[in-house]
Amino acid sequence: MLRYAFRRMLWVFPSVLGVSLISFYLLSLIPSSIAESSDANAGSEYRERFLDLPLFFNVAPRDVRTRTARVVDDLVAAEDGSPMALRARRELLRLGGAVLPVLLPRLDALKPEDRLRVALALAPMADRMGLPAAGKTRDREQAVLFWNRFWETRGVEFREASTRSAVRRFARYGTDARAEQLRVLDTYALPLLIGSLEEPSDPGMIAPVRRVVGVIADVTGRHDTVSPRATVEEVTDCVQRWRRWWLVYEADFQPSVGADRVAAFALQTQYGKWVFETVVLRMGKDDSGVVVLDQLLRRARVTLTMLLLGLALAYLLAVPLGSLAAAYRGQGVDRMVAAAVLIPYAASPAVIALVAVRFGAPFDFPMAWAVVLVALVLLADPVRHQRAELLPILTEDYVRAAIARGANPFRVLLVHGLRNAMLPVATRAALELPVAVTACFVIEKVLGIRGLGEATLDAVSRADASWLMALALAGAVFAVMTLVVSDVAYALLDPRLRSAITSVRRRRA
Amino acid sequence: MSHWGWVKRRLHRSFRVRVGLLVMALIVLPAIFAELVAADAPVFASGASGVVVFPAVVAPDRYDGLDRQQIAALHADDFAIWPLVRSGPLSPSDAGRNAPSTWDHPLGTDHHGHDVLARIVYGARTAIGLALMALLLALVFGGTLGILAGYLGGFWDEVLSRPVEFVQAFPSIIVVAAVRAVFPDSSLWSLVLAVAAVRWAEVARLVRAEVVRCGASDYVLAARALGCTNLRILRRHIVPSAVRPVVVSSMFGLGSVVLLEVAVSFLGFGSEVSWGTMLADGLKFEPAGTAAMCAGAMLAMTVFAAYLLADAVNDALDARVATAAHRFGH
Repeated sequence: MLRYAFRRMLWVFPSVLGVSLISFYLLSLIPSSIAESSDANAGSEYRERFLDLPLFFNVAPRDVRTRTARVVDDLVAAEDGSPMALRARRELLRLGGAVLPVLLPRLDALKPEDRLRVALALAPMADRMGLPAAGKTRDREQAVLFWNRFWETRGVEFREASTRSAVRRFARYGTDARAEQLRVLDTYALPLLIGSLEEPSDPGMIAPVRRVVGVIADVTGRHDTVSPRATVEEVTDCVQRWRRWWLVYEADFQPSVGADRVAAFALQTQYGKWVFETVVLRMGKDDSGVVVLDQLLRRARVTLTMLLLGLALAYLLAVPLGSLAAAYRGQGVDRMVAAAVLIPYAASPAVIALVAVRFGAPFDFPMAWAVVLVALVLLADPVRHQRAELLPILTEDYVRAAIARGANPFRVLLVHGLRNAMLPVATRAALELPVAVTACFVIEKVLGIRGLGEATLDAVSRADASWLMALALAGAVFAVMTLVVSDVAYALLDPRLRSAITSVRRRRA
Repeated sequence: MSHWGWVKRRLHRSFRVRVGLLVMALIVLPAIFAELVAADAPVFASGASGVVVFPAVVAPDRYDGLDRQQIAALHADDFAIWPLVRSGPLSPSDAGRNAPSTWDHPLGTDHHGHDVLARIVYGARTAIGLALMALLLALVFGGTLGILAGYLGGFWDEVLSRPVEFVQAFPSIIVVAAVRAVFPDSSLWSLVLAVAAVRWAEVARLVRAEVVRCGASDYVLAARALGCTNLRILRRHIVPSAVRPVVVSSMFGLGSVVLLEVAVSFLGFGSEVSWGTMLADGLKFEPAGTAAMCAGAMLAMTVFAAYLLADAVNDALDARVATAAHRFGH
């Protein structure tokens, strides 16, 4: 049985994937207020929201090589001092040391004047790297020679293995020599620097993070550092901000080769980034900067409590009421039950609450009221099904036989009737839940309960895709759980089905 | 007497059917002919400016931005037949806010100064129109998929049935919320599509079950032996037996879709002209006025009537329950 439940549970994966794909596509249709900026290289919200990436498939993912080639083309094509040239120089500086392994070996392939232009554009980078003879890079005579020689002598440092050990040692000991080495590597060390960031769990772990963040901030020119007196939480926040930043810009600083390049087809997309953000960064933050997953869990607790308690109460009432109605089919009791159940269902929770408010109901305990309201609204369906299931059973011969033998009608109802009718009724609870969620949202609004409904209303009016996305995923998980629980309940309640399920398992095994 | 003859006789005798039809007619007819009940524009006008028939339907933008005096002045010299209430659901009236009932405004006005009767009637049009449209779409889509799943069987059955199960367990309000966040326009098409996207699963499930059941029956085997084509078997044997569950579920669905529409409008991302917004206004402005009460009553009546009708039709179509009455105990 457990294995069966587990196998059904696996459906969560395709379901969540499907829902996320559909809702991601749907929500990407929300017209964005952020204009496409011409300078979509850095710092723009356009870029930070991944709007420069395609939705699902990136046929031509950009990495440090394509970006370098682009910058070189721009530098070559632009006249000196033109805005385009300035922009290209800025971009080159931003890309930093990561371009050197791409650019310097191919410097000779350029025409002499182009070569000179590119070499001169590298001058500010040399300053940032703290190279001893950085002055030479501004000299028209020596710049090209300088960079060629630089690559000959120090090119070996631009290797992953040596960088990795440099980063590790720097994080651990923070010696000046290592700092100097990392400074020369510039943005080439960024992937490993970011990778070495860990969220600190105690104050002793803050120091290495602080050192690494300092280097990263120097290299990228983004001033988000850890102050000496920062607490663990502040450092954690800072690390998460840097990780999010890296999510946006990682492709600018590393070449995608081999498997990376294939993966970039799916990962360097809006959807890929979103999935990554969801998994690693707790669904990211919404517009007001609150972590979405935390908020989702907090609010879901409120709504689910309401929902499940209401459902339980509804079924507790529905079984006796439905049996009563079936036993007295077509008589006064039947009609009274039908009316009593139908009126709250037809009136919708909004109306009931309005009437209650009008007559001054004490709403001191909103949660208790909410549970009662949910139960009232949900009552109609189970009562109807209980009655409908019981009716044909009560006309069966074994029921007549029991009555003929003089059995107490109550006993007949309980032993012969209910046992057979319970099963389909109980398992229909799964189908009630979607309706119940709607009712919960309405009741939340009426009673001012701060559950999922309230947040969703906000999100819809602000067209906040991140919350709706999270909600859709939560809905998908919720739906699969419901199905699994109802299936397992069915099998547990019905011995005939149990053997059927086991035999299915055997056949497939 | 044929099966359908029995069904017809049972329906004719049913008290529930009569009450349900009466209530439904009271709600649906004004909704269909809403422009006759309440509108800014006259129903018919003939005079110096020519003859106009139903300007509110033919040229609705002609009266945009005009208040009541201006419209009256426009047709001052004409022979004009006016609707029962001379203001639309969203036009401001000169009676002011929360006016009591008068001849001009039989149910008074609400917190925005809109005529309550007009809002009720047009709200009915929104609710019923949306429900019918969504149910029809769901019927076509779900029916097709259900037949396909049942007919193809095997792998394709599995592929089509899993989403059906899933959609049925997925909270519909989330679908509607997402769709309305993307298309916040006042047109109802996005809402119709969202509701249909939730409803189709139920139809597909019922149709598939019926196709599978019929496909295994002896009379279909006999028909096949006689050389009937698949299409003929579908038309003559499978579709008629699938009608009962689908019709009954759609009639119950009418009530639940109306409830969903009202809930969505109540939450503030539905239509502007809806019973739901009236209820929301009633909650926002204390004390809840007659507008909210009327809307609530209309909603309850609609759902109640749909429920009664569906229940009666269900019993009438189910020979087992209908003939086995009163065998238990009494």
